[in-house]
Amino acid sequence: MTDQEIRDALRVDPSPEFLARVRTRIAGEPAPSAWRWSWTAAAAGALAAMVLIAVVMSRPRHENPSAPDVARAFTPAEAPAGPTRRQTEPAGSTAGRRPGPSASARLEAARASARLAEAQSAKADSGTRSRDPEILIDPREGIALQRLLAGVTAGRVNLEPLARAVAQGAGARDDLRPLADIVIPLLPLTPAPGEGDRP
Amino acid sequence: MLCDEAMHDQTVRLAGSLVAVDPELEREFEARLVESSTLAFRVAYGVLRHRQDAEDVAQDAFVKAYRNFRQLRERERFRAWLVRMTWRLAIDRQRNDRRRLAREDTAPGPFGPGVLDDLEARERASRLWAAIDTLPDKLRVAIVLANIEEHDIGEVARLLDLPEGTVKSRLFLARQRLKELLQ
Repeated sequence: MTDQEIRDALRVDPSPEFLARVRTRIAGEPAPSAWRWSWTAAAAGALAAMVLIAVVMSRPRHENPSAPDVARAFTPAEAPAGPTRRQTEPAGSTAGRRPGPSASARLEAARASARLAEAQSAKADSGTRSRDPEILIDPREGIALQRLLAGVTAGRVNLEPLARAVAQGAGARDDLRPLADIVIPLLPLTPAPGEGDRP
Repeated sequence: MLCDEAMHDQTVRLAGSLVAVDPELEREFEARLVESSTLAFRVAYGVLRHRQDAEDVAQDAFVKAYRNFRQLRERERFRAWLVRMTWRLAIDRQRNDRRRLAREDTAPGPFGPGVLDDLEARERASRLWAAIDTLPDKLRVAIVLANIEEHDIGEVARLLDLPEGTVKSRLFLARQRLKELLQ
């Protein structure tokens, strides 16, 4: 009984315009062969992208892997102590303080560290872009030189005493006389009185 | 202006050379469309029970079939492919369209004035389809397909790509569940 009812209910035909509407709709669709073309193009594009990625990944790199490590190992001990504290302090907290020599040294160290980081990132960028050989400098030497130059430029470091000392040292070297040989006299070894006697 | 027309002609020629319509494929699809249009409509109607919605869904299924027709290597399985596609589309539509229930209440009814014109019969049909809608999807599709065009178990099994034994047990379960629900 139930099946018969379902069967009767489903004995319905579409409207006479149904087929015509389907044909009209299909006529507006791209032909089935378009599917093949679009997927062929997509597959070709994906393949080209993969080849490009493989070529880029297989290119040799001319970077110095140890340089960043050295800088990383060095920087925490020297540079961040000053700037970190300075940056975390409120702006008004330093108003009444007089910057002492240690504060200025920390500030300078922070600046030098920032400059070094910039130089290293620029070096890394240029290393990936070009194949020119790099000139490797120990970062600590670089920082020291940068600090010295910055101090001279700012007038904090006076090189005149150094120049004088160098000149005096050069003049004094001329006055030096050769030293005579050191003569050590022989020491006579005699037993102490009473040593070696049995009681 | 002349330049635009020339460019347009060139574009059409280029597109035509790239996307060449395969006349054999077109003829084959047209034949499938004619032979399967009523089946697709009835499958959709078995879910939606609304003539216009069922036509819309069947139309969508044919468009989808047309787009992917080249992919179908075993063309003799077109009917099964179309039936499953239509069923899925109809179920999706029924689930998404929450306004359907209200519309069905005011609709003149799918059974025609000559078959079910008394109130009692309409009430019974309404209860029957409400019960069918509560069936799990696997049982529901089996019972609907078995009652479309008087398909036998073998035909339902082919359309659903299932063993005949599975279809038989699903039909048994569906009938049993409907009987319980309608008592």
